[in-house]
Amino acid sequence: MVFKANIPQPTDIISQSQLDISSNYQAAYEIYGKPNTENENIGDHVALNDSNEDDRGAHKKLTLNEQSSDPSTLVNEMGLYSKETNGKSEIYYRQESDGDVSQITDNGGISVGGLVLRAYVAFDFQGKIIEVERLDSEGDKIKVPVSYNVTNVTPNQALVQGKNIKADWNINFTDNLPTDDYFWVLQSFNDPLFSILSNKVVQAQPYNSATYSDTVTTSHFRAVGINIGTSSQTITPAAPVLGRLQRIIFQAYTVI
Amino acid sequence: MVYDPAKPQPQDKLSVSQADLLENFGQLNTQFGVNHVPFDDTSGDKGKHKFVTFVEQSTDPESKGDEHLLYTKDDSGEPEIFARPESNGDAYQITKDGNLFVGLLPIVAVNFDKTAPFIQGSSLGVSSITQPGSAGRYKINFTAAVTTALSGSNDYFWSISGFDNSSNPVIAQVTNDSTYGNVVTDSFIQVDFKNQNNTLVSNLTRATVVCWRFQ
Repeated sequence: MVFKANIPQPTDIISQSQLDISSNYQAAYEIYGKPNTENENIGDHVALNDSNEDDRGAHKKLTLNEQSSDPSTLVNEMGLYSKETNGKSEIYYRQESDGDVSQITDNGGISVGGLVLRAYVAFDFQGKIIEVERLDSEGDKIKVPVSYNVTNVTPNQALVQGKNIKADWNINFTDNLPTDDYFWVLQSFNDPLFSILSNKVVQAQPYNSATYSDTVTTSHFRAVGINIGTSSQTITPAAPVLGRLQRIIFQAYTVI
Repeated sequence: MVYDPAKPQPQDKLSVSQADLLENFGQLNTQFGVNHVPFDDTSGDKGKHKFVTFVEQSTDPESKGDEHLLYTKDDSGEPEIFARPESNGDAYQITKDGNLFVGLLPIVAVNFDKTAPFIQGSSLGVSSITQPGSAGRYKINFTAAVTTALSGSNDYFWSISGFDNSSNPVIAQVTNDSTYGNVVTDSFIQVDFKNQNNTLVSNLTRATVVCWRFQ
């Protein structure tokens, strides 16, 4: 169905115009927005004859066709659009009066100030990812892992009686990070009973190695718990820790 | 020329209606085509958005059940994107001053090792890294001064972490100093990597520093 913007012409006969007009109404209806029962990606809007009158004129979704350059904005306007960046369509916005252009998405992530959070996780000593309770769409309680783009956290040391007893973990990413030169945040807190009994301070840190890729790769990050001795006491071995860290948090960022 | 939804009328002659219909179809195609691929496009993308122009709204629009709105509203003289959840829920801000609005804005991110010029890979907001004194101490120099209306210029948040080739802990921290402004400033942050004997480590394999400020 083709929409004809230049009909009817003065020279058209009514039998011809009737067909053109009818065809235009049908084309406009289909292009504007098909009913929700049709999943075809034609039309971003609620159908013109949608049974719910209140929904007419509203959007179902937003398909942003890639633009070759940044569109102009007038005063008191803001523009949202997509543009090709490194071979992918990414979402941008432009401030009023042809103002600054900012990239919102990058390679599957959201950019805030030029930094993209690629992965995060909170886990316990066993490598179990912490879960929180949420309500699903039907109001039932469900467990949701406190993680993003992390498949699991696996121990690097042999288990003892089925338990991880050494603080040495691989944080495994679901999708590889775009570079291994990413920035990480790694923090932990200690079991107070363990500290009182042992008089030791423990911290989580990247696994020590002269070879960067022993610790940081695009597919995983190796973290360990390590003992911090006093000036008169060096604990050997310093890592991995035998004992507990209650909670470890990790984040990975890249720049766009 | 303007779209006239009241045309044609029952009493109009066909010769009049022809011009009205032609104008209305033309206006529909043109106006729809401002933000969309127009009706008469032949590429197969007709009906999709080219971009979305949000004209500033003076108040938060009403939302009904099962709706989530996206619109712009003035914030300190600039139109910014806001969203409103269903049933006239609390509106929240999506953008601010050229960035997504999440409360904390990353201002510095850098990955570096022990060898000058230190910086590895891409960085954010860092012009250089210098070494004031011994190996293991690094001064991260910012590209632009950190400013924020919501806090002092050096009241930002930081994360520091690193590792070396030893079997000892690497304790990453801001350099100890009795004066905060000596080591955390709006133009640099100075960081140390030490072992448990309070000795700076000289063989840093890699370290990372990230800083955020209020938006």
